[in-house]
Amino acid sequence: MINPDRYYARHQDIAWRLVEGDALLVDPRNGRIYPLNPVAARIWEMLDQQHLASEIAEALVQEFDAPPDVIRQDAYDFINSLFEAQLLK
Amino acid sequence: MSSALSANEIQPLNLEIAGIPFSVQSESSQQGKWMGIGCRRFVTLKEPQLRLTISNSSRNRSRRGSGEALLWEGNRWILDAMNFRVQELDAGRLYLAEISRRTGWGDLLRTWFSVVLLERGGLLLHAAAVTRTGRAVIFCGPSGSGKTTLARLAESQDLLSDESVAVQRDKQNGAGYEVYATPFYGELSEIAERPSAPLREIFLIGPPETRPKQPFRISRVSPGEAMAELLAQTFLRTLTQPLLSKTLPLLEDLVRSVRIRRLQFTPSPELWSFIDDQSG
Repeated sequence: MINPDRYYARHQDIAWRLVEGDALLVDPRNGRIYPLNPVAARIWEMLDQQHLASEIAEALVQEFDAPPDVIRQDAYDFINSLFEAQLLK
Repeated sequence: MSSALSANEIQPLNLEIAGIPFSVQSESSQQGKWMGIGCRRFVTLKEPQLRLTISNSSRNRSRRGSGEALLWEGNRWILDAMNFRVQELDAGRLYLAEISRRTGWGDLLRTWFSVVLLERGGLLLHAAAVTRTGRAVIFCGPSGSGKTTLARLAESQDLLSDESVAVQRDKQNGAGYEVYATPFYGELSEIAERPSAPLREIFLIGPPETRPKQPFRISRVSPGEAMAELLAQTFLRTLTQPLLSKTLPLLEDLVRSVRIRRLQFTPSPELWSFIDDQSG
């Protein structure tokens, strides 16, 4: 599981594009394609090694109207899934 | 007598696809003959901008895997696939292809043209396209999704392709996209008549439902999903960084500019009136 007090960054090999709030990620190492909804795209944008995982989660808590613990856990789960897919470094 | 005559004795075939005139010349008269038959709707008198020469190789190709690799040497590229290899000799103008014997020319030509078109700001999509009131509707989906089924429901004069179309910005008007027929056919090569048409909209299609609740259904697709599915239906199977750096901006522009929705259907001639009613 990811560490909330750590910086994570997008892997430099991943090609990506933002389009009307969504994002599209493509991993040229294996050809896998990942469409992201606006919330996931927002997280992806913040994975720039300038934001701790906890800071990313708190930004979403401020932006979205849902129980904070749910938002935080969803954010950590998503970042973890990106990490396990080797889309982060 | 050998059928492999020298390149000097075989006339090049001058074709135009998606507004790009090019010549293709094979050292095999038999191969040239089959290309001429398969591409006869695309023969042109225009001076070619590009020249592709195809030579046959008796060596087995060394590359493993089903995809292709696009490699760069300086500002020229090499397309390396399992059954053929294409080298850009003069950037954007001259190309030399080496193809394994017993390999058809279709895959080579389609893959080469995919890259050439991409360099000129266009995309080759695995899609059927039909014109409705003079404008093209694209149906994009993988094999088995119903492209040929849809194409069979169309009148021949309205059909651009049942298998692959080129999409490019309308160069004359600047706004909108133009859809072009290509010689990379599926089953309906003898039927499609229409050469090109302005793009009206794109439908993403999938495998037909066995027990649909409704005969036709159109649903929304998010921009990210649309880009993902269109990307999966370009003919370049290996998505390397150089290809992606050109492909993704084009797809983004297409998704921003054109209405893209999901269509689920059962084969019926009433499909066209349904689509026309939904597109008002």
